[in-house]
Amino acid sequence: MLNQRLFVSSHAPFYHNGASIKGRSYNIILASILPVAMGVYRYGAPALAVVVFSVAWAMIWELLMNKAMKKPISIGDGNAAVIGLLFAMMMPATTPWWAVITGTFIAVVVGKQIFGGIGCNPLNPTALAIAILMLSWKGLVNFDEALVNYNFSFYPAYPLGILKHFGVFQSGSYTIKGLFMGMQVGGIGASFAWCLVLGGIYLMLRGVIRWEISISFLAGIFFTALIFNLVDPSKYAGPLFHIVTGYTFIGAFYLLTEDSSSPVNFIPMILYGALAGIMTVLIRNIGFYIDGTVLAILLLNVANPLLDKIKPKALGKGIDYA
Amino acid sequence: MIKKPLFSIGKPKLEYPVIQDLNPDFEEGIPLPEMVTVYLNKPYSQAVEEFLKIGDSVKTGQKVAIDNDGQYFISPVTGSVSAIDEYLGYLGVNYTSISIKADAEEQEDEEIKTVKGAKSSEDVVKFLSKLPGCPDFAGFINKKYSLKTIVIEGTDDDLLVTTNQAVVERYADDIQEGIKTLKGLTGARRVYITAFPPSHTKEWEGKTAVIKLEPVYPATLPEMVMKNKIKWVVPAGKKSEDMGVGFIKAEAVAALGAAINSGKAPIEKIITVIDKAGSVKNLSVRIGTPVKNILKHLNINVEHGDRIVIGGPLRGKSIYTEDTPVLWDTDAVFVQGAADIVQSADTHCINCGECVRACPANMQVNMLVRLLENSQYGEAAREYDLLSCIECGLCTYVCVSRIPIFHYIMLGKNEYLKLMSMEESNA
Repeated sequence: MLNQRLFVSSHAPFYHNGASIKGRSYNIILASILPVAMGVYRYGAPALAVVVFSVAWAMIWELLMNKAMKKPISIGDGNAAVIGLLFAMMMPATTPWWAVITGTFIAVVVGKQIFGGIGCNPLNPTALAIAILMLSWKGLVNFDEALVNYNFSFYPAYPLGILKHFGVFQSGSYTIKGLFMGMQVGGIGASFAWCLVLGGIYLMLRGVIRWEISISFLAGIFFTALIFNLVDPSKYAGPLFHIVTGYTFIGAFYLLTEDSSSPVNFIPMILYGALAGIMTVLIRNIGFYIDGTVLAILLLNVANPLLDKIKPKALGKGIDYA
Repeated sequence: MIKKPLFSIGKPKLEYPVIQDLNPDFEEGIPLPEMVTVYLNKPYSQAVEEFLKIGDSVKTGQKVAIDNDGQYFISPVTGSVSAIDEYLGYLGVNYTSISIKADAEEQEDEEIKTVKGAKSSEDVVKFLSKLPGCPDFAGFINKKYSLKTIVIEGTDDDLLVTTNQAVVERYADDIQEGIKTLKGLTGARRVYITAFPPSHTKEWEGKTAVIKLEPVYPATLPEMVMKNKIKWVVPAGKKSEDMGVGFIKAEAVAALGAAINSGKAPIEKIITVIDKAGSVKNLSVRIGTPVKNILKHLNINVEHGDRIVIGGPLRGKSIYTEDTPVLWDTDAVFVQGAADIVQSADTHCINCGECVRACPANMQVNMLVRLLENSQYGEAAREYDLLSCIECGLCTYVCVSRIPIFHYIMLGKNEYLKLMSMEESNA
C-alpha cells in the first residue's frame, strides 16, 4: 500500500475530561504549599530540610520498588511526592534524617508498593508511617520534646498533650481563635489550621477530595467532643478545641480522603468520616494516646471495603417483568 | 474535547446539541461514489457467491437476494458486483461484505415502487427489511415482540450528533405517514416521539405525544427514557422491546413513510459529519458510500495519527480505514485530530469513585473494573451488575486512571453472554 496513513483505533469513548492521577497529585501538592510555607517560616531551615528530604526519599523508595518489582516507573504521577510531603507535614521540624528515611520507607514500600502500588493500598500510607513511628519511637512524634529548643511567642506546649496530662483547666491557656490561626506547636504543615482549611476547601471544590468525608469527619469530632464536654466540662475539652488542634484538619482534608483507602458511595463516605471522627475523640478523651487521629483513620481504612458494601441498587437489578 | 470545569464536585454535565430552527448546514447529496460496499449481517460463506456472482449487474433500488432464507439488500447504486468477502466487525461479528462498482448512469428499478401503499407486514418486509436508522426493521415489526408502545427517537444518542433532529426538521410529513403505517404493522396503541423542548414540539401537537427530554447526556438513551419518562425500568440484561416498548429512530420512520407514500427506495442515509475543529454538518449520502468520499467532499483532511469514528464521541466505533462505508445505522462520522486523542493507560484503579458518581445506572464501576480486568465475568454479572450497563461511556470519560472501562465492560458483557448461551445449549 502506498497510502501510509494509519489511524488511531480504540474503543469508545473518544472524549476524556482531562482528569489524571498526576493532576490530582499536583493539586494536593498545590494545596499543601501554604501550610508548608507557613511551617517553614516558623520553624526555619530545619523544617525545609525535612520537607525536601522526605519528598526526595519517598520518590527514591518508589523508584527503587519500581525497579525491584520490574514495574513501569511511576514517580511521575506525583503520588510518592504527595506521600512524602504529607509525611513531612505531620512530623516536627527537628525530625532526624534516619527517621525521615525510615518513615518514607514504611509509607511508600510497606504502605503502598508491596500491595501493588497506587490504588492497591488498603491503608493510608502516610498515616501508617506516622502510626508506626509513633508506636516505635516514643519521642519522635512528641512535639514538646522535639521543639524544646525553639522560642515561640505563644504558649509553647502541644495543646493535646496539655489536655491529656494536665486537663481542661490548663488548656485554658489557649484561645480557639489563636489555635486556629496557628498559635500552637505541631507538625511542620499541621500547626496552621487556617492554611489547612483553605487547602481543603480548594481540594473539595476541585473535586480532588470528597466533601462528604471531610465534613462528616469534622462533624463526628464536633458532636462526640460536645457530648463528652456536656457530660463533664471539667474533664473534657470543648468540641472546637478538638477541631483546631492536633492532626484534625490534616486528617480531614489530606489523610482520610486518600482515594484508595476511602469509600466511594455517599452513605459509606458519611459513615466512614463520622466514625473516624468519633474514634478520634474517643482515643483522645479516654484512650492512651495524645492524638488518635492517625489510629482512627487506619482503623476506618480497614473498615472501608465493608462500608462500601452499602451501595445503591443498580438500574434494572432484581426486577423482572417477563 | 470537553474538559472538566475548574471547579466541579458533582456529575459531569455533557449537553447534546439542539437544533433550534431549520438547519442551514444541510446538504442534499454528494456525488455518487465509484464504489459502494454494504455489510450484511450474515456470516460469510461460499454459498453467497452461488446466489450472487461477481459481475452481476444491479440497478438502483433493486432487491438483491443473497440466500434462500429471504435475506436481501436494496442496491443503493446501479452497477456490477465487484467483490464478495468476509468482514469481521465489532465484537468479532462475521459479516458478508458486498461491493458494487457503480456505473456513471443510474437506472432505477421499478419493482420497489410496488411497495407504495403497502399495508401488510409481508408486503412491507418484502422491500423494507432494512431502513436507514434501523438495520433490522423486519425484526422490529416482527410479531414476537408484540409492541404495545413505540417511541420514535427524534433525538440522537450521542453528543454532537444531530442526524435525527435534522430528519425531524425536514421530513415531519414522512414521519407522520410512517407512524400511521407503523401503527398498522405492529398494532401498537401508543406512539411517542422524543424531542428537546422547545424545538420540534409544535409540529406534533394534536398528532403525536412528545416525550420532552433535557438535552443532557445520556437522557436520550432508551434505558434512560424508559426509566425517567415512561417510568418503567428495563430489567438488567433485557431490552425495552421485551417489555413491549420499541425504540426506533425518526429516520427509519421517515424512510418508511416515504417508501409507503411515494415508493421511494430506502437508500439514502442522513449523517452528521463532525470535523476536527468540532464543527458539525448534516448531509444525506447513499448507503454504502465510503467515508473517504464524504471527507473529500467536505474537504476534511485526515492525517496520519488522527482518529475516524463511525458514530459520536462517546459511543461511536473507531475505524482503521477510510474505505469503511456508511451503513444503515451510521448516524455520524466523527474525525478527531491527533492532538485531541487521550490515550488510555494500564494504571490501576485508584478508587476515586468518579465513575460511580457519573454512572447513570448506579453501578459500582470501581469494583466491576477490578473483576473485569481479571476476566471474572460471572462474578461481575452476579455481584456487580455488569448487565445493568446502558453503554453510555461516562465512566471512561471521567476516569482519572484513564482505564478503558467501557471497553472492558463491552468485552465482559460479550464474554458473559457467550458463556451463558454455551451453558444453556449444554444443559
